[in-house]
Amino acid sequence: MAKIVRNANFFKNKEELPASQAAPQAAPAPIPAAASEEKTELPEVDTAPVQLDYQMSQQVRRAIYLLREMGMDALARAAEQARAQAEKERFTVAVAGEFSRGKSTFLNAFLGNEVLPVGNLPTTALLTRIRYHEKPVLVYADGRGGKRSMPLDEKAWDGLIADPIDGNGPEGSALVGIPHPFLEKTHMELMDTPGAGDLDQERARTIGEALLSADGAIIAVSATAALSESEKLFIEQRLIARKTPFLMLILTKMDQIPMKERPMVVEYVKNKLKLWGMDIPVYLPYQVEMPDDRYQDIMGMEKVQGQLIAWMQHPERQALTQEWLKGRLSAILSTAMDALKEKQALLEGDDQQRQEKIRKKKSALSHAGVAMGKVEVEMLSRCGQCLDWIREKADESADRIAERLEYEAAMAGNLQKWWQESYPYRMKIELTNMASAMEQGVSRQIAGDSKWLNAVLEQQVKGRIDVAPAPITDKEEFSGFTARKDVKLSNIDRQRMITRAGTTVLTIAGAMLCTSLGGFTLAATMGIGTGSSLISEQVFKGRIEKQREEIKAAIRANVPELVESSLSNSSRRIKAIYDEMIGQARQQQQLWLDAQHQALENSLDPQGSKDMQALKEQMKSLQQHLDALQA
Amino acid sequence: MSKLSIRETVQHINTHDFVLHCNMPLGYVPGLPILKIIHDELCLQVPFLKYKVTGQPDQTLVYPIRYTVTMTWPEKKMIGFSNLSYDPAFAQVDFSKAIGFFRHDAVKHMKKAEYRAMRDELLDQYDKVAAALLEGAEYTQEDEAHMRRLMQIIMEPSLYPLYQALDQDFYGKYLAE
Repeated sequence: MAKIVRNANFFKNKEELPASQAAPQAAPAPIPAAASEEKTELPEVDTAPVQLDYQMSQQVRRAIYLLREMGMDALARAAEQARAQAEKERFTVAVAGEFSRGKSTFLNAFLGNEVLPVGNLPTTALLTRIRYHEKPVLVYADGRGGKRSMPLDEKAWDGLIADPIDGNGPEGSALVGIPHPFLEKTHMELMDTPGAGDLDQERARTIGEALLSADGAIIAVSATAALSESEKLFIEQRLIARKTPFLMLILTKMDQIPMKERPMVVEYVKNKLKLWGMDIPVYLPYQVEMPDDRYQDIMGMEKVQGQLIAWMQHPERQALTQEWLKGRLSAILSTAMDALKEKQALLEGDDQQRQEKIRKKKSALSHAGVAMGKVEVEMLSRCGQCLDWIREKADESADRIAERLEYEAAMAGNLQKWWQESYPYRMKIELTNMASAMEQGVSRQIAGDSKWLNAVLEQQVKGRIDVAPAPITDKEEFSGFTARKDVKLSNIDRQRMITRAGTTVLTIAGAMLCTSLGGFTLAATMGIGTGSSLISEQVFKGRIEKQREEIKAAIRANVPELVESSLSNSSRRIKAIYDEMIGQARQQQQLWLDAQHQALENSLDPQGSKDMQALKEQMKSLQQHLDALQA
Repeated sequence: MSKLSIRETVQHINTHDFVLHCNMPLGYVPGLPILKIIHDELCLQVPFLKYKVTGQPDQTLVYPIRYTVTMTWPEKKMIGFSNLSYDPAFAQVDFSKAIGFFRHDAVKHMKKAEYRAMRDELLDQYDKVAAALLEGAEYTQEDEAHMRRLMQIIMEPSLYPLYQALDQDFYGKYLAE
């Protein structure tokens, strides 16, 4: 609770905050991305897969050949996969986002059919690909080689959606075939992904791989909780960092926002994307009423379809795909080059010099372990800071919530009703708001720390980690909330009514009785009736005030406990996120150490100048190839 | 609740979530804060201004205070952000033009460490004022005179009118002649 100063005149005059101390001015709205022209009929779409140009094809082939020749089979396989990805036949668009952002609902609306299961709880457990097929069909692949095909009807999804009770879901992926004209005409494949905040490690990896193979991504963001820090992290790490060629953002659940606030949400999202330096067009896929018509060119499913076709027809699609492939190949060849350089450094010089280098290298490798240990300690310390922050915020929140609720209790007319009906509801709202604020703050800290860790990894082991956004609070934990029962409240309003009625009846009865006995007695009876009413009113007022104080005391005791219990698992979750980051960093380091040790091993028994000559040739070829790629 | 002192709070304010979200342009740094009482609560208003190094000794340009962030003290609950270039009271200020130089005469003779020590001492005096106001701790006339002396040494004179416009009372107590 805020402290009151003892001497309000210390600085002579009190001062009100000037009106100008308001929220910062919103940045000017960016110009909406060009939407395709309105057409009800689908335009002719060029559905041919990307054809790599001759030069690029040759470069890929040569790179794979070189890698195989050098005995780097794993890197050769990676290059082959990259080529297959670039030349794949279908244009794939993933619908991605955090859980419960309406991804499946959007796809159902897009396809005009209840193809996918939807629900209030996270339902999409499987990565689901949707393609054109003459008859509706669902093919489930269990990820272990087993496949099951079934007609796409109401029962098709039984057992394939996330279990809201224990959170478990099936493994594998699903392929849905439907006779949809858009999919037929465009040869497009749509991909429904499980919510990003809802993923275990294995699923996070699966969705990561799927997004890596997507040509474009539709990021679903709920208008009711638009663009959290974890969504930013998701877009940055899963889409932009992996160079997904085309991106758009759709705002779902707009109908849950009051009409006059809808433009503000759209502008907020656009401004935030601009602030984050992300040039991503925003669409409103559903027709919703807006106060004015300035959003007509980004509203409606046909606008989304238009944007998808525009992606496919994008004159630079081939160039973008080739650019992506060049990037992948460059990264693969750079890794190969690093390994060769390492080997060369160890092979140079006479035997004695080589032994010295090997000794130094061994020492450097053992020091790398120590340096990584320091990084781990730093990450644990950052985790500690994050936990301290959440603790501090919890204390602040508890103070603020208690203050607000005490005020509401002080203002409530019927205390018993407020305590039994309004208080639990208000408490849930307050806890949910608190959780939302905590989510944002913690996400920001985690984003910062993962950025720092990636910079260190890049420098030390030439690697990086991906941090899947994960919620640190669980709204389900608040739903079990019940008000404390230790405040016994009677309905004073009711008692007061009964007493008033009783007093009135007795007064009237007394008056009627006394009328027959004479005027003076009547006046006395009326006076006694009025007096007793006043006394009983005073008694009730006292009782109400006592109840109010009891409730305030209960709130003061109750709120910190509830805040504490609602966040009881958050610390554990934060710790798990940091542990995950540390674990991934360890894995990266291990990969790097293995490669370094391999280079060391190879150099222990060199084949003299012949080996060195061959190595130099390889490096020259590789460098030429890298230069050609990067030209 | 964080137990940071006013000096530590000012030092770390640039990384505060609220301040980060205010999107002040890069280069703005917190100046000497102002203590004020709003609705019987003690508040800390931190002004932000810009310095531009010219490479010449004692010719670092000082630009006007352009933003302020206000929080309650000691709760550190953020209650206001202000961009003074939108405030009619500062309509005459040209925020793009420097208004003075650093180091000013009063601190020209000081070494960097001396200057920092004196500035830290001044910021520690703010805690004394806060303790006096919130807990009734002793705050003598000597304390006030000492703080006033430090303030008038440390603060660039070119900023006086801005502090006066920001808070006449605080200015009157510690800066006015």
